[in-house]
Amino acid sequence: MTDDQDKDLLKRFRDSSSRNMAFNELVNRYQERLYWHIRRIVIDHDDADDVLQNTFIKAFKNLDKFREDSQLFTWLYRIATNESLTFLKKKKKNVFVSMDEVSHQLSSTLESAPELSGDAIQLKLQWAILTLPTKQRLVFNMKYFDEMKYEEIAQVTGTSVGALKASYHHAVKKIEAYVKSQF
Amino acid sequence: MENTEQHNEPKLNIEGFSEADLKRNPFKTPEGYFENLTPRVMDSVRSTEEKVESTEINWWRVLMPGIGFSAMVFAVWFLSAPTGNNTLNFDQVVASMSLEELDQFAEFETEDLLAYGLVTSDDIEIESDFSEEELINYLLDEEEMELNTIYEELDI
Repeated sequence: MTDDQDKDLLKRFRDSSSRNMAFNELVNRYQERLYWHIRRIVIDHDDADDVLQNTFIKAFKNLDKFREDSQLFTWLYRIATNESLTFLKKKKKNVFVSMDEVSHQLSSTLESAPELSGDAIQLKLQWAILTLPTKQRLVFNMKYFDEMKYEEIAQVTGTSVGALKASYHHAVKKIEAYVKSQF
Repeated sequence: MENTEQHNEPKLNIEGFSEADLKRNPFKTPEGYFENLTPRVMDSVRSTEEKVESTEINWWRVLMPGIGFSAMVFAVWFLSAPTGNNTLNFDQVVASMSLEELDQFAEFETEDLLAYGLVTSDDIEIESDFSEEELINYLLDEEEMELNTIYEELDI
C-alpha cells in the first residue's frame, strides 16, 4: 500500500460518515500480514487471533492520534508487536521468569501445535528462532520473513539501524549454528 | 540503497536448502479463517465502542439519583434547619427573595434596613472616591470644627 493510499484511507477515517468503511478497508488490507507477524511471536493460532483483535481495537481507538510521522503499516506493526509481547508477559506464570525464558514455553507450544505443518527443516528453523533473545527474534522475523527494510524495522522497534544490523547478523549466525547441530 | 543493504546483510545459509524452502510457512490456520476475519474484527471494534458508550450511560444512571437525593436532603436541611441565633443574615434574605422583592428592597433607605435589623453596618459597603487618609483628615477637621463651635459657645 502506498503512502498516497494510506493518506486517502486516513482522510476517510477522520470523516465520521466514512469512518467505519475506511477502517474495514484497513483491516482487510493488513490483517493477513499482521496475523503472520503476531503468529511468529506467540506461535499458537488462538493466541494470535486474540492478539490480532486487540491490535485492531487499539488501532481503531488511536488512529485519530496517528501523526503520519511513520508509515501506517509500521505503526500497525508496532502496535501488534507491543500487544504480542504484552500477551506473552501476561501468559508467563512465574513473574521472575524472563521474556527469553518464555521462548521455552513457546517451544512446547510449537511441539504440540496440531495445526503445524511443513517439512523438518521449517520446524527446525522455528525451533532455532525460538532460541534467540526476544529482540533478535523480532528483528530476524521482520527482516527474513516479512522482508522489511532496516529503516522500517527501526520505526517498529524504536532501535537504531546500526543496532538492528548487528542483531540480525547475530541472529543469522546463531540459527545456522543451531540447525547445523541438529543434523 | 536497497541493493547496497542486500549486498551487506548476511544471508542465511543452510546446506541443502534454498531460500524458498526455508521461507515456506510451517504454520496453518483453520479453514476460511482469513475470509471471516474482517467482519469478526469489525464486530469486536463495534462492541468495544458500545461498551464504552454504555459505561458512560451507566455512570449517569448511577450518579443522577445520588445527586438528586443529595440536592433534596440539602434543600430540606436549608429550609428547616434552625440557625444559632434565630436570625437570618443579609445573604440568606437576598437569596430567598424574588426579583420583584429585590426591586422593592432596593427602594428602602439604608437607615430603614439597619433599623429593622436586616443589614448590619458590615454588610453595607461605602463606595467612595476619597482615600482613607483623606477621610481621616476630613473627620479630624469636622471634629475640630465642632470643638471650635463649642469653644465659641463657651467663649473660651
